[in-house]
Amino acid sequence: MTDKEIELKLKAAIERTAPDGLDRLLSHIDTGKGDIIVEKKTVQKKRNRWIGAVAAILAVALIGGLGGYVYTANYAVATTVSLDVNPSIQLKVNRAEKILTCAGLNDEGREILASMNGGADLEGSKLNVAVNAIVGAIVRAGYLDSLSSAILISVEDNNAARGERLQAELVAEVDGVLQTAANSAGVLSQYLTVDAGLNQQAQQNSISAGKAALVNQVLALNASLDFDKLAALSVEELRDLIKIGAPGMPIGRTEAARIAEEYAGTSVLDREVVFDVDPELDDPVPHYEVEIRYDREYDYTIHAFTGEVLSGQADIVVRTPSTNPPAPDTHEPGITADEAFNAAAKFFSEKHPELVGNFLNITTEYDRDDGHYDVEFWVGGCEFDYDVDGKSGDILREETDYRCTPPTVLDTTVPDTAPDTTPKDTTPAQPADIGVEAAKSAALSRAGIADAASVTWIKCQREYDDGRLEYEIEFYADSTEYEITVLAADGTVIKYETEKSKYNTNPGSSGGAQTGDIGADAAKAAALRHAGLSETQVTRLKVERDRDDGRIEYEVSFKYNGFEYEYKIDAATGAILEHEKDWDD
Amino acid sequence: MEDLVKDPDAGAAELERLLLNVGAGDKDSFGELYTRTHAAVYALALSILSNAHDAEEAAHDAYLRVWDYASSYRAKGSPMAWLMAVTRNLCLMELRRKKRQKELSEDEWNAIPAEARGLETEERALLQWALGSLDPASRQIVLLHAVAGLKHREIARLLGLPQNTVLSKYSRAIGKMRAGLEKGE
Repeated sequence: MTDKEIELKLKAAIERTAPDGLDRLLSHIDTGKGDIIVEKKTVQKKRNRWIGAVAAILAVALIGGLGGYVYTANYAVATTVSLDVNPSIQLKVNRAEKILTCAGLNDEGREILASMNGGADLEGSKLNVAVNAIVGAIVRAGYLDSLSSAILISVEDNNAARGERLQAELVAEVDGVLQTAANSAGVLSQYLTVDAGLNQQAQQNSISAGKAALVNQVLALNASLDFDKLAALSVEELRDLIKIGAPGMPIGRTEAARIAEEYAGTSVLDREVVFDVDPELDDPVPHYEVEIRYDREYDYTIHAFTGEVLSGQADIVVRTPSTNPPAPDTHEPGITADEAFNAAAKFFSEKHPELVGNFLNITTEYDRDDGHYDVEFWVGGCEFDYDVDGKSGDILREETDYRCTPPTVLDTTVPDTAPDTTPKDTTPAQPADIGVEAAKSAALSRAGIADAASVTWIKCQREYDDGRLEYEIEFYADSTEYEITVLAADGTVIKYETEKSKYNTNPGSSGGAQTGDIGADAAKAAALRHAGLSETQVTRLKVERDRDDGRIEYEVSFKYNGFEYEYKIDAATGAILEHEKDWDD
Repeated sequence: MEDLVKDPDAGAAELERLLLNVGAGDKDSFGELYTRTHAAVYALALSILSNAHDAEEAAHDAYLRVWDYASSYRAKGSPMAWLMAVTRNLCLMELRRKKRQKELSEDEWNAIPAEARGLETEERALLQWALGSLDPASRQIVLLHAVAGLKHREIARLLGLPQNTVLSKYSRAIGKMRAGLEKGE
């Protein structure tokens, strides 16, 4: 039985099993018996989540205009509702469940309310309308994008029945907003009686009484923590702290961002590059995930309690591209490779004076696309990479996350007695090297390409990595970009990646409309050829025809020797669009 | 019923049109949308809630939400993914509310085929495997692909899993179901 047959049978079985509830649904819709949704439809406030706030404001204007008579009789605050994410917003509500005041308690809360006249537009509106509009604005501002994010709804009321009812209604209201936005943020809620002490704590720290109650829960777990510092954390952080028993004081998102920026070297920039900071305090290693967007996206993991940088690329900025634009008008270099190497060596010598004179140039190659030289050299058993501007000779990038070779490779001729200071003595023994042409041949062979003339070479670079001499080879062939790493010692391919090229290197395929279909057998053969396997060697061979991004593709998968192979093949050209090889766990 | 899996693009365009009409309050389109998608919605709800009655109620609520919120759907060419996201969120909320996720018991399971006339032995065995033997993520992945017709990358996005994981879980789950069927033959 094929996979497709199993799928179809499963589908048929489900269709037979699924109860038909259409009549019941239509009946609900006709008679207005739908649950909370029908209530929402009657107030016509939520036609579109993007204009939810506008609708709410219009509703406020209407209610505000008509409600003056009732309003004067209802000034007394019956309930206080607070919404906390990191924005904290407090709503004071009368017995008729209309808003008396709406205010942001912190800067982020005030920012959310800015489009609603600081909250004044919501005064006089029904509580659920206002909450809907506010939560919609919080979602739009991106505060609840993360799956682990959370919003806290607190209802403070001395009338327990009313308070608990409002709590349930508001949870349903907020859930509705989040579902419509296909948002999976958590919704926390609590009912509180009015507590003067709690309110005082809240006021002193510019947070809501609800958030103050959450902070007190953390303090109950660890009394050594500081209320003021906890008050500055988000609801998500507080929730996670409670979950893990509040072992200490997390550094907070601002500090995590600062540490990541310092490590990345972006703190010198005059523009904001931190895109997101996501706390993951309930992870086995509590941490903050900091996303920096500079020339591309960089992710950093910062330990939540120690501030240690657990992962991420250091010093992504050496000289800002804005002051040293790397893009020459033409792609021809203005300096020679030697000059580029010398520039990198000089920069390195100034930064690491203790290592001057001991380096070995591995390679200096000009990257025509980006207009810079890629300079790599070896010092003290470690490999350093620099990007040097092809025009000015400025250092554009320094990779300080350098790779070092194992000592067994390094210690060759250095005697125990007087150290020899010549460069030769600190360089490792040269391992076997098959040479660049043999490396290229190995790469072509791995790619299944017989005709080297059909290939456009991009890069063939010899470098040390993980203590081994390797060739990093890149080329285009048949509209596909290949990245292959070959061991210099024996030509073994240790890394193989392909990607459908954005450049059309094959004049025969114009990149226009799809004209043909090679068929499942040819797709299967292409995948097997690529993997260097025959059909009889593999198991679970599967070929599926699919349409993706307007193009017909074949998805071919099979297993061999503990690995799972997956291919996407262009049905029109037979080109391998994607290729993955993974452990079959 | 038109097979959305066979022609996903045409199916998506039609669902998008129906959703737009539903957003404008068209009940006929709502009925048509329901007919085309309710098996998938029910299947996803069943795979999360593991209870036939709860799944039926969740599917009901999901369509009420669709009726109410169809106008907020932004056409992105993946109406089924939107519908599945609404259903999944509703089911997860239900789970949170009940704070439980019990496995489908044999008694509950037996209640399904009793109501479903014409369910063949092989189909019943498939459902048994799909819903009883697979881990929750694999269960959702299989049903989202086979019944809802979502692509693996759409499933990956919906469930917040790497695409590789989705692919390998799917492959393993199908293999497991095949083995189960062949064993039963």
